[in-house]
Amino acid sequence: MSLNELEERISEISGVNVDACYQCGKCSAGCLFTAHMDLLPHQVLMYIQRGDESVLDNETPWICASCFTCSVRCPRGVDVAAVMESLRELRIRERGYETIDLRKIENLKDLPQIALTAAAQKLTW
Amino acid sequence: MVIVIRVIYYPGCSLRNSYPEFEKSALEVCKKLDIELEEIPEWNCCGVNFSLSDNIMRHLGAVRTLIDAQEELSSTAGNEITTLCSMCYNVLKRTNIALKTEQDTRENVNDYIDDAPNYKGNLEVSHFLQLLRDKIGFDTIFDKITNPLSDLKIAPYYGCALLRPEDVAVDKRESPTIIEEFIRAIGATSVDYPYKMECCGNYHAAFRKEIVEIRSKAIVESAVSAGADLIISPCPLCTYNLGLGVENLGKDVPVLFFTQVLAMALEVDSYLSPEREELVLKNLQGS
Ligand code: SF4
Ligand code: SF4
Repeated sequence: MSLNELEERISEISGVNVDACYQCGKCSAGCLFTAHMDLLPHQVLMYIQRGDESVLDNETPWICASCFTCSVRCPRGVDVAAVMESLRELRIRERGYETIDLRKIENLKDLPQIALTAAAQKLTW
Repeated sequence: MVIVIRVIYYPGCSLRNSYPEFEKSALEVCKKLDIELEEIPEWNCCGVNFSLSDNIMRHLGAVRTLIDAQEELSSTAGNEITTLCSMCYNVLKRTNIALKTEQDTRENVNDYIDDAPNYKGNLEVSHFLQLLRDKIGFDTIFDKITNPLSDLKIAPYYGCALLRPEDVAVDKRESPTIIEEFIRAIGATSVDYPYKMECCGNYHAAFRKEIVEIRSKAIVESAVSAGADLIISPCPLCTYNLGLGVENLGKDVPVLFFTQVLAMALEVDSYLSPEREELVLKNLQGS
């Protein structure tokens, strides 16, 4: 079966074949951040399999904390964390960078540098 | 004859700017354990999160650091670069793996960085805990401690970066024991609790603090209900995030770096803040 266009682009960016996912839901079962997501990780994969680009407007990829729990547990070897990153990347490539506003960080004074650097990387690149 | 283990060392930004007690206590510990950490003469921020996309350019900081380490090591036989921060470990290790295994990536990066020697891909990246386990040995550490922390119940916190993804895991990724073994080596008791490998919320500390608060509170609560007097961590960001959890839970649970409790057991300066020190001593005296 050939990949749809969205799957192709994700595969180019992350090297992940989203078609390998058989929708078992294990990624979503182990994800600690689902309470804050508007789509569960396995649903994100399903949207991509259907070629539904509306997934680019979902919050989930921006909530994903890159903890790799899903990636190491997927029985089909799908690196779900990398898929989340490629969705962030796609949106940034299509719609440009978002700037981050340091004034919005209430705990800026004691926040370790590592948090700021990581947030800048993940959220603006 | 004392054999000194000399290893090249990458400090990383957060140890210098946010949590100097992590590095300072580690350096004290090294003197006692005959380890010589030799800082790379020039280094960059590691980038903090390994990019999962096709864009290796995001890792130029890490690549340059590896090149600097390679040049520094070329005069000696060693090939190991070690870090204290588990985030730095994760990024340097993954970058190193990419450069070692993907010839294209290595060539592109070497061509791009034309003001420095080529990276040959001969280095091994380790975390300081691995160095303690594999080069010094936890048994040796147990023999060397003079102040076993026998009354302390310590919760090991692993977080993500030491265990995931699989190819960077310092131990079995779903059932690690390295921090528990470390805790036994300093004479303390390790506390088992289910959330020791769960994510603290990572960079959400910056813009979605509430997410971190919820996650970290659950982790700290789980450690405390298992009986922990304190939590030890291998990462500055985890330490900060767990601190938010402690605040939210409204309990006085110190979150320390593993090197600080090792320093206490070896009776060298552990660089505890006065408030932390008071708390730890209180717990040690079992009040
Ligand atoms: S764990 Fe893997 S196979 Fe199962 S739903 Fe998630 S991505 Fe698909
Ligand atoms: S990497 Fe992202 S999607 Fe996967 S378990 Fe962690 S937070 Fe959830």
